[in-house]
Amino acid sequence: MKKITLLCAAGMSTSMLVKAMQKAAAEENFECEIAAYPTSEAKEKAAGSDVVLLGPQVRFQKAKIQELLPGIPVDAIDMRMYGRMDGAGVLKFAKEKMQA
Amino acid sequence: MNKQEMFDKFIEFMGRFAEIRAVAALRDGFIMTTPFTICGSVFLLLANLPIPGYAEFMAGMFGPNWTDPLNAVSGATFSVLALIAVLAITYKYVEGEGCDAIMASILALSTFLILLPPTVAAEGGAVVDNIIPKAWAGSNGVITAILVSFVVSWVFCYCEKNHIGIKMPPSVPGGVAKAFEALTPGMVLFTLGAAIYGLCHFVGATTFPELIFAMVQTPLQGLSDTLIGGSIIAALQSILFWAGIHGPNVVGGVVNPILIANSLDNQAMLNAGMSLVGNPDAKIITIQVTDVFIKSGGCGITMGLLIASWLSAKSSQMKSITKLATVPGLFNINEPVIFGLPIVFNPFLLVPFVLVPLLAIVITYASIAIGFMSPFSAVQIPWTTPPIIAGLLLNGWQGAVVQIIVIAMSTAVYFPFVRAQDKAMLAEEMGEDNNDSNQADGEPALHN
Repeated sequence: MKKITLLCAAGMSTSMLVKAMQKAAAEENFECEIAAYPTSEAKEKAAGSDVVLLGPQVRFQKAKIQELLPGIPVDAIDMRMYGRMDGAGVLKFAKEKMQA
Repeated sequence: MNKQEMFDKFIEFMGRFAEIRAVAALRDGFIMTTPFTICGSVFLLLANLPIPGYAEFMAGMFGPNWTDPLNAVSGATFSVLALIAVLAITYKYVEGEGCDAIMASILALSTFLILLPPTVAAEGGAVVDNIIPKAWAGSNGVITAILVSFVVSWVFCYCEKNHIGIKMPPSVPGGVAKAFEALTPGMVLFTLGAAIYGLCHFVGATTFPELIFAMVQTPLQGLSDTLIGGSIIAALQSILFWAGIHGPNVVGGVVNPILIANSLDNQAMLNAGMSLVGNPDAKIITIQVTDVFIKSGGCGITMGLLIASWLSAKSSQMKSITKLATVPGLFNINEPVIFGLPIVFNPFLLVPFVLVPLLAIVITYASIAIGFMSPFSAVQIPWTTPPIIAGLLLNGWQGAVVQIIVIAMSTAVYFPFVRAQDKAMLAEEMGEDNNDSNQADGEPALHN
């Protein structure tokens, strides 16, 4: 099963997106584990993920997070998708990142 | 240089700043102290509920010392904030470098303790030894704690990375080898600690925390506790968020230790039996001002934007974002507005997004300065506490009134800007019926 981890400043706004993504995943029968954490817990919580997605407000930390999580694709979520809590769109983005 | 290039440059610069190991460790380490300050606050709040007759009622039930068990909790959380910070900041720094974080943290704790004054003067002048002085393990020692964390982390990682230390043969179990590896940095750090202690003691007749407190921390606290200091913090948070960077996270990472120290100073005055209202020594700009009173609905006080939108919006874009953003907004989460509307890099909304928090700082500062609202004690609440309830918990009915005034002000300031944005969106939606583009005009194409 794929593990998708979302990170933002406090893990609050990403947790809203997690709900939307889980709904989208259920609709397309895509089995995956999605969770949100603050960036300060990246190393402990995001280890073993298949992809790590950052909220656009913390994308300036991308290099640091990538350094903490070698070998895991890390990227920032598109701002508009994030703002509109577009679960299906972000899930598609996550899948693309996992394949890349 | 076009907008996109400027934007990318700015992001890159902020990224570099936030990635400086010390800055990141300070921010992430101080976030680790939050459970202690928030949970400690519950007990502090129970000991000081702003309800008339409550204290008398409790004293009648449990005797005059009824607050003792509650104060024991704040004595083990707020009063040792520097100890907690030293462990947390060192841990995050060393973890980031990929070294043995827990061992480094414990070494940092010992190094910090070496530097503390070894005695306290009791009432009547008697000198008491064999103590850990909470006066310096708490807010007054915060800057010392930060400095100690940085130095210890640096020395520890340097030794571990350059393999300076006692080598164990590979047959020795990892845990045992690790303990031996910590001997060298331990000796270096303790010698350094002893030398600094001796220097302060014999040359200056003082201690390191007292020196740092007088020379660094007091001036910093003084600077932060001004209308200008508060305004700079408020403006920076908004401007950064407008540029798509989590402003409170970056700015707070640097200034929160100072602002928490400000609130703990106020608590110390309360504990000494002094009143804070109208007390010229009480600090006005504390962590609660920058974390709660200028954040109703989220950074930029977007609560007012949402209310203005509910009152006037006609375009379907504005309406749908407002609907989506309202419930999170009640809990001060406003990423949907910031990224969905968006506010980020939107010239329409930059003005109110910066202006509203600045006016909120002025209103909050004025209400404390004229004695309407009490300066804040050590009590903190989770930042997700809905506005008005937050004011009520922190500062009684006066706190709620000030938050209502701030939200009303925010609504009034955002109103014309929301109208203008809504009009533009409506015009665009009308045009969209003809051509099929749903990309707003004049909006920068932001990529990741």
